[in-house]
Amino acid sequence: MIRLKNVVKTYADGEGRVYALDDVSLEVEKKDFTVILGPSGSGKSTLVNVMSGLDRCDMGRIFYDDADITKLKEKELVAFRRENVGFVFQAYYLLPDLNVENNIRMGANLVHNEDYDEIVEMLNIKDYLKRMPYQLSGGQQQRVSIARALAKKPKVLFCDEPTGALDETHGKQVLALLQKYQEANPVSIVMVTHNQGISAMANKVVRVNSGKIIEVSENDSVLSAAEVRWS
Amino acid sequence: MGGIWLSMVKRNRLNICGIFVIVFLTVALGVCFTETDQHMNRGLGELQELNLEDFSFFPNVTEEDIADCQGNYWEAAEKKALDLGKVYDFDWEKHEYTVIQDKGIMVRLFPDNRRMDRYKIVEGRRQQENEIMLDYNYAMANRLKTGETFSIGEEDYTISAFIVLPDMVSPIVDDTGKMYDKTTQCLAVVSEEKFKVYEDTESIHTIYSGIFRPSSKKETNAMKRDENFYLFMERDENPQIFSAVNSQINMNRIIMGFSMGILSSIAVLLVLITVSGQIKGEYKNLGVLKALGYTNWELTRKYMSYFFIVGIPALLGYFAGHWLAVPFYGLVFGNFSVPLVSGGVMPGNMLLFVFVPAIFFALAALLWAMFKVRKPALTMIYNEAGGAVHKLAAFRNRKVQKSGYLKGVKSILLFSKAMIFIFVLFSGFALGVQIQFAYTTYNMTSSIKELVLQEYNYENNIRFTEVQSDWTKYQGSLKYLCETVRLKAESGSEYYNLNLYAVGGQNAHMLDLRSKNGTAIDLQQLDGVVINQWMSMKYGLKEGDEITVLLDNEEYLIPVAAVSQSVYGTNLYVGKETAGKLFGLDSEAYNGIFTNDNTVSGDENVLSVTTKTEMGNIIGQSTDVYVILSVLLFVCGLVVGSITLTLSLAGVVQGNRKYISLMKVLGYTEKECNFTVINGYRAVAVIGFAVSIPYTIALCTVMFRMISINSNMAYPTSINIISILCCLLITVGIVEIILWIFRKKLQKVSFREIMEA
Ligand SMILES: Nc1ncnc2c1ncn2[C@@H]1O[C@H](COP(=O)(O)OP(=O)(O)OP(=O)(O)O)[C@@H](O)[C@H]1O
Ligand SMILES: [Mg+2]
Repeated sequence: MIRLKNVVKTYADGEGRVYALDDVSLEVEKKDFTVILGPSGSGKSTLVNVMSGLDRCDMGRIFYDDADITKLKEKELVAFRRENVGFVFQAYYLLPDLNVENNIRMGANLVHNEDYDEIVEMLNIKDYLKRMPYQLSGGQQQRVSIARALAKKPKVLFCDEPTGALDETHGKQVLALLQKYQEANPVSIVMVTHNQGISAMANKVVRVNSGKIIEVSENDSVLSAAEVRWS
Repeated sequence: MGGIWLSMVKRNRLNICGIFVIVFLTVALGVCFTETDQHMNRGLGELQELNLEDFSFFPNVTEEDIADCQGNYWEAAEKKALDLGKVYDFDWEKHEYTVIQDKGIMVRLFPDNRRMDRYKIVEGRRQQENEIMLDYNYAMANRLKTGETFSIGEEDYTISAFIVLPDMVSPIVDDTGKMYDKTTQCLAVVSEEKFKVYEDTESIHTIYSGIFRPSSKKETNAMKRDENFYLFMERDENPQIFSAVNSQINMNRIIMGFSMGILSSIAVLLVLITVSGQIKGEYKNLGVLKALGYTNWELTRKYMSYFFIVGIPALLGYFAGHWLAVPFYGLVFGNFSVPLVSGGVMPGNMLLFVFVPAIFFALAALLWAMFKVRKPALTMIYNEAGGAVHKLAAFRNRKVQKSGYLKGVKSILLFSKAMIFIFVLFSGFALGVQIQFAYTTYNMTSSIKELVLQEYNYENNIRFTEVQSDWTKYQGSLKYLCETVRLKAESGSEYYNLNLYAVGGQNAHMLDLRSKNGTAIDLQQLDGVVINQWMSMKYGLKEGDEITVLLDNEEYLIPVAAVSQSVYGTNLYVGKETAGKLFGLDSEAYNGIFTNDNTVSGDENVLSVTTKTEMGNIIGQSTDVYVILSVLLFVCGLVVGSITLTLSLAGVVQGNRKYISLMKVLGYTEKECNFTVINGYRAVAVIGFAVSIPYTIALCTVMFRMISINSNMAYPTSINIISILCCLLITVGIVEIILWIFRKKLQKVSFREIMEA
């Protein structure tokens, strides 16, 4: 479904350039649960940003089915994101002036989805719907940001450290929920994480270091969220 | 300290640029107006030291008085003046001058014999035989130099000095209302002996000047009513001395007050918003630093740098205004004959316009920051905004409808950023006020000439020295009898000099009086007098009122039959027949004509000729200042208005970057983003503009009313739809351009940069 071919992304760094992604090629299939692992600063966030059409790469191609999104104009890219992708950011990015419900609706409204109660229930944030983001803990904010992404009914969901701020119980709850959601809906999930244990849930594991993919492995059998060894 | 300051300027560079320009303009304009006013006051102050008269008068010399002096009129007048001086305790002096028309120039010649109203030499030295001293304004307008020759008729004089005469601040010629023109009219002083030569050939104008003795009770009201005075006029109501110049000073002050009010409130708001924005922007950081152990003083002291941010442009503005004040003085007061005493850099003004605002804003910024950082560090880090705003936002959040989600978000954003909201609203308002004010001023000016000249269906207004009997020469003219009368004010204590025109019925069309709505006024059909708009404003009169008029020391109660649309002049019109009934004036006596003939030149019975062209010039003279001022204010308003709008809308885009970019990431189209985040403010700016319309109209009406009452002309304000539409177009245009620029800029910034900033 998604194919990256020789993608390069650099950042200016004083005089020189940092190769955040250095000639990366990768394929993700429909309904895949892909986990991206790697040390801090290895280029994980950059990879999902580029893959999702959030950021542009310097070189290479990115295909969604047969369409090359690197060729899209800004406007078309926006339309593409609206149709296809959902995000859960490492830093939540909730909108400070909107309460929880309206933050979720920011996603739901895009696809005229009025029926996000199930998601809210699943994520266990029903009690906070009227609260403002600053009145939530980090984990609660994380769950709101997941709800916002799911309410948009994306074809591909990109999650950048969705459990980074959660303890084991809540983290596993979130993962279980994503897994359950994927079973019920035709969605591919691409998840960045530090947590080695989570990779056991994925059918594809991508290891990144210094902007390069060093290993792509496929799991034949996957664990449920409850069975994951938390680390 | 320097480093912090620089980084602070850099981060807020847009706002600080705005502060620079607006503070500069505000201070420059303020200083320019203020110093102009001060120049004028100092100039007038100097005149007071020249033994300036308290009043002008002429004794009422009766037949008996003359008989007592064996038929010598002047002796009788002198004796009467002496008596009056004893009664009311004043010193007096007889002042004479003669008017000589020569080569298109009118010279008013005075003998050098004064103790009261002494001339002041601006340049040169006192005249000796065969020398002449000319008035400064004429000399400057004609680029004359001392030592050059100036001839009157056959006589050649050497110019010894340029002078100003304190009783001729605004040298209006007699009572015809003809205004002083410094290029063709000249005041001149020669020795007494030289003056004697003219006494034989020319007619001499005489007036007495009086100064109260220190012991005097200064019973001016009693003197005004005293029959023994044929004429009595205090210097403040004398158009040649203070009345005209005072009205100009008042206008200057009113316009200054108006424009300074709006400009300085913009400046104050802008600085406060910048400070507030800066505190908000780094509130989290301040919280972190506080958590790390920095003291409040260490965190906030850099806010004192607003001393320089405000002080530097204010200082530059001071010098610009100071430098502009002299030419501006020439523009506004150029027609008055007052010595220019420019006092160099004035420490008082500098203090008021530079140091006071600089210190005020530095302290305000510091105290505000201090107030904000007094909270615990954690609160500062997590709870970025204040409580009240949040409560409002939370409330608004609940109101978001199921159907109109983006609309709901739009209103949340609009109202949760109170500062930005107010700023945008005010920017639209300020732009509207300034542009419309300039526009209204301009419109008013151009309509005045029309309104005044409307009644001139004739070219010349010819006054004869006395009642004429032979009118065969003037068959096609409209005859009138003009008498000087005094209008008794409501309070009963003050009198105003007016001209009563009792107008004949033949050729009546030549005087085309019209009421405010344009309908013709038929003088002959009315059983009262016709006043004009200015008198109506000045004396608070309307149609149907009764006024008390003094004619030859008799009081008459006269109805006001109509108000004409003219806005200038002190002429009361009345039909000849009605005049006979009301005042008992001789129905056959006429002493002047409105005419299109040019046959009168050289007729020695002619007292004065006022032409339509001249009247146009007079009006032009007093309205030109406003044309220039309105252009000035327009440019200034456009600059300041655009800057405030730019800054406020920049604030909108800046303050909502997060929203715009996140929405774009999620896949909202540009149109939806604009609708949710930006379009609301476009409406707010226009609402601000809309509010400015009634405000400006009301303010202009009040202001021009004040000016009218304090001057010799009414300044009518009218609502002009076209000008309002123009202003709206300008406002909307500026808003669109600015929003477009900022959106373009925002597109270039990457998502992560925005979110992590
Ligand atoms: N805007 C930027 N400008 C310059 N360098 C950047 C920028 N963003 C990221 N980098 C660099 O690119 C590299 C990859 O960063 P990225 O955020 O993708 O790492 P990551 O794997 O997500 O790390 P983490 O696990 O800590 O989130 C890093 O070396 C980072 O310093
Ligand atoms: Mg990352």
